[in-house]
Amino acid sequence: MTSPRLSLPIFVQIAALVAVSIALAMAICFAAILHAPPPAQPGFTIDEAVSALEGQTVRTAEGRSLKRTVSDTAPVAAQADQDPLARVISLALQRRLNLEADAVRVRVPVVDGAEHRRIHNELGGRWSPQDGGGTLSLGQQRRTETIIIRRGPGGQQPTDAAPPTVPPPGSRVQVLTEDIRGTSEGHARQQITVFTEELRFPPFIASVRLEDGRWATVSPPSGLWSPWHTRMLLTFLGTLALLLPLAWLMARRLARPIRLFAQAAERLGSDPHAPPLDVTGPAEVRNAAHAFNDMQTQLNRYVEGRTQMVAAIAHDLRTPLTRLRFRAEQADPEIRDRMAEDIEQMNGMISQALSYVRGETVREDRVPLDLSALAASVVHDLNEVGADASVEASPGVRVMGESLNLRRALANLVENAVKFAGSAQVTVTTEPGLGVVTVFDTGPGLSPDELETVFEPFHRGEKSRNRDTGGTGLGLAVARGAARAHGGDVVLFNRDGGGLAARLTLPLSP
Amino acid sequence: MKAPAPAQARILVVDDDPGIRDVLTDYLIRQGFQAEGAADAREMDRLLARSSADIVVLDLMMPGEDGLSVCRRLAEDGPPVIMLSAMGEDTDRIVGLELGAADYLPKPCNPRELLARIRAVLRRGGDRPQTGGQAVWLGAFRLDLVRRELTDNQGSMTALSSGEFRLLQVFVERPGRILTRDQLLDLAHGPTAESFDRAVDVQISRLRKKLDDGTGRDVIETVRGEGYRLAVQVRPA
Repeated sequence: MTSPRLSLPIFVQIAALVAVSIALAMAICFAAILHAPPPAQPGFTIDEAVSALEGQTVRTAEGRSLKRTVSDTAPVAAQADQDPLARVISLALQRRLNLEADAVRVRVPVVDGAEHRRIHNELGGRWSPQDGGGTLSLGQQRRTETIIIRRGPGGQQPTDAAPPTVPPPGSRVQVLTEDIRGTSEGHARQQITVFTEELRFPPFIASVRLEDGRWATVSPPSGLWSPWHTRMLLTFLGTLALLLPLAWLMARRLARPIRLFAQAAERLGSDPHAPPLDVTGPAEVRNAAHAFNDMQTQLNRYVEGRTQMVAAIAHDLRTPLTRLRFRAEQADPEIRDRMAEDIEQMNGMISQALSYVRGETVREDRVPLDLSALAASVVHDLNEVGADASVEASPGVRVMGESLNLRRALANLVENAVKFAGSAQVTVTTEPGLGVVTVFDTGPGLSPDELETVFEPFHRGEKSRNRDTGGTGLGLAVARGAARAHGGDVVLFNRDGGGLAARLTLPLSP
Repeated sequence: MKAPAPAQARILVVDDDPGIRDVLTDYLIRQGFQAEGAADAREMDRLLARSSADIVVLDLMMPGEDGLSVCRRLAEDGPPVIMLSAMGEDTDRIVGLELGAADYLPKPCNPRELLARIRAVLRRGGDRPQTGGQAVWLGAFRLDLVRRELTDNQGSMTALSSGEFRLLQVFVERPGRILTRDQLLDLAHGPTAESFDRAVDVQISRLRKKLDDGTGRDVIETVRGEGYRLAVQVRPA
């Protein structure tokens, strides 16, 4: 809450965080695309196909292996009217493997214009799209003649072409040529010259007949997922990994003032006299803290007003009670004693009301005190007025506490047990970090829904019970208030086998 | 100074409520005292100037100068004060006694209890607790006679039941004296107490435990055949 950066409104901070995150993610992706090699085309060369057919593992340029299968029949059917590209591949394979034409079968599954354009670009030629196919002019660098690729029937027949050129001297290329003659017109002739080693063909399927009559087939890697996709995914994951800690850190910093605020508010809930909240942090939190502090002030003022009112009423009631008590002295002894009893009962109620409202305002010094001795002295005090109560305390249970408030809390619990059940057994034990005083009785206990409601101030239990005892229903509220002010609590539970137990816990002094 | 006989004692009742003044003075006069009422501190001062009082029964909450201030003033050179307060809380009792009141009673009090306290204060005469002298050291323990708290020299508090406190107070007020069970019962619980001898024994054994300083020596000795005696020196704290 002290960082000046964090005192910007939360709105601005979130907007900035989102903007920065998006910009950063985009920048990383952009850099990755800029620096990574472009995705390789999935095709392969004749050499690679041959190696694969010979049973070697061949990775294409994009990084996946060619598949080789051996079967009894050729998966690729012999085609009379072959795609020129397939024919080129077929020729190249025949030449490389030294096979007859009927021992090689090639199919190019999909050849689109873009792929032809690529082939043409690699050879330095020009692609002219035509109906059902196109003409690939490879003449510009004078390395070859024209391949006319036709797709499907009814297309334009191959036309005459210039004679084959000789590859440039010193180049390690293989030249394939084929003379095509003898079409129906008799004059159509095509010479195909391809520098096969330079040319990566679009993915094709090629089957060659083996010596034993079976067919070895090479086919392109299958599946949509290429190594390039993997690389991109890794880039994204990397970006995520980079951004995630940043986002986490920022989110934490954003949430911190809100969390601190929530903690402070909670502290305020358990202790109305907690110091006002720090008015720092983002604008939204500052506003909330202001509102909270105002609310606390008003609540405290309200509670104090109410407390003073109850205290004043209680005080003023005692004056006429005192007069009554002295006047009763002149009555005959029987009436006097009854009046004295009534006055005592009224006074008891006033005392409880006072101690309840004061318990919330009066603060004593906290001193180290012996909880066992405190519980014992409460029980012994009651023993002196004839109450049936006993105590069993493990020695030296020390807590930090306000002795009078805690004494009152314990006295209320023990008195309740004596009042409602006729007797009380008190034990003082320790649990890790806690001093525990448990007040057991053997009375009727409480119904489960009453175990909590009896703590409400001025709660009235069963009428029959209260008529006998005339309590105000504040004893438990006072006890719990005192315990909670010490960081402890009071809970009630029904014992197994009858009777009620009140359990007061207090943190042990360190 | 010899305490005046109750019948001659002059009691000043200071309370802003005229009804209280009337019933109190009436009651005290019927009990054979000379009693007079004053509505506030100024009237009290005027009456005291005219003739001194043996006891002032003082209300804590009054308009004008309040009871605590009057109490502090009288503690220096006035008659002993019995505080009477409608805020009968422990804290008020402690504040009142710390300011030098000889005794404290919550309203509404039992008239006979007030009478007993008045007589007790008169018996003590001018010998009322001094401000600042309300705690004593018993060996390693400090006993606060007003707060009724027992603390060891580390400041750790051990609670006393009221019976234990009264018993210890009896010993502290009579250091070195051997006290019989009957005397202890009488002094600690009053002549009308319905306690048994046994209660004293139990309380003494509890006190011994609570006052155990680790030396193995009992703070309260048993004197065979006679009674009990406080075995440590009582030093003002």
